[in-house]
Amino acid sequence: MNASPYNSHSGNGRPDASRNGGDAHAAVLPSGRFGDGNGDGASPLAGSGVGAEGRTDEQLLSDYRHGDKKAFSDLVSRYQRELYHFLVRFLGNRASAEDVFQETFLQVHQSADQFDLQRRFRPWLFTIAANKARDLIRSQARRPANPLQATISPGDEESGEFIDLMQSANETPDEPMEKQELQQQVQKAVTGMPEHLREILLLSYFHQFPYKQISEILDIPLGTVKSRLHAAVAHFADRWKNTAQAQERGPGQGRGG
Amino acid sequence: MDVTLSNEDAFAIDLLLDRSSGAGGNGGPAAFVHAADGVSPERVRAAEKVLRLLSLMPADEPAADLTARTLTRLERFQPASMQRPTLDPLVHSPHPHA
Repeated sequence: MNASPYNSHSGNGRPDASRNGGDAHAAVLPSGRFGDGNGDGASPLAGSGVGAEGRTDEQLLSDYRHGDKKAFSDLVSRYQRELYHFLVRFLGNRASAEDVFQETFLQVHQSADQFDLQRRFRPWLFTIAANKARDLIRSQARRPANPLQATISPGDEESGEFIDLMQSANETPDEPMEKQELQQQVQKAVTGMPEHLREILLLSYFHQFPYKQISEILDIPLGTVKSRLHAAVAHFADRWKNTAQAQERGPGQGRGG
Repeated sequence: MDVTLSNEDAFAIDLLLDRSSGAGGNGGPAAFVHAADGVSPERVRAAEKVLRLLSLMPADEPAADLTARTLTRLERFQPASMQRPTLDPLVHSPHPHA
């Protein structure tokens, strides 16, 4: 048993908006979002034995600043599932996701004193995670610099071919696909997207960040958030349409995408 | 291949995904969209259908000990001189539970 003073488990944290196979739009507020963060010192609950469920993310970070080590472990535990899901979907493999997960919280620890407690912790956490994930992708890429712009340059998101969502929606295969096959096709469609499109789709759809917060996380203008997200949805819909058409043509005809 | 959405599809997606506007995020705004909103309910339903496919994307669950390993890594990184001060027990005494 690890005797680390940090090592405690106060539960699995907030419900993840991206439950496997479930409706990602089920509106579940994260447990860390009620009330306003107390930016003026340790919360009155610090060290009281009250569990993490009674404290916002910002309160936990504030308490950690004041020496409550358990507060930090509660934060990590709270975001274990959601942040890991974002990273594993973005990076595509467990080892990288775990590594970036740990690096992210290391950065949170190092920067805890600089964080403005009047801000929301969650977007800040995802900003760090997304930056570190992109750094990892860049370090692994063999393509020229600026791989995020490799497919669609800034300002070009709206200059491509138009995809009709009604057509994509109507081309869902008539023959029901096995759930596992459906999942594989969806995963293939998403993981095959350029990183910057996949990233924004994950943040918006699975993690339900408002556009304004995505703008802050990715440090891009609001207009770019919209155009990039539109391009991401179009890209996914186009790949899905090709998949559905290939399915209708039958086996041996090759898969679209 | 570069692809994007028509204005109407883009508007439908924004209705569904931009939670800062107060719209969407609850899986079913199509019934409340009127033609006067600039997009037909049918197009919003089509956008919802496409987005709903995304919910099928699997995600591995994190290892049960990921938090513990993260904290262990943190501790290994943190030199003793940087240890945060523990709470003063005289100032931050536990509150008795009601």
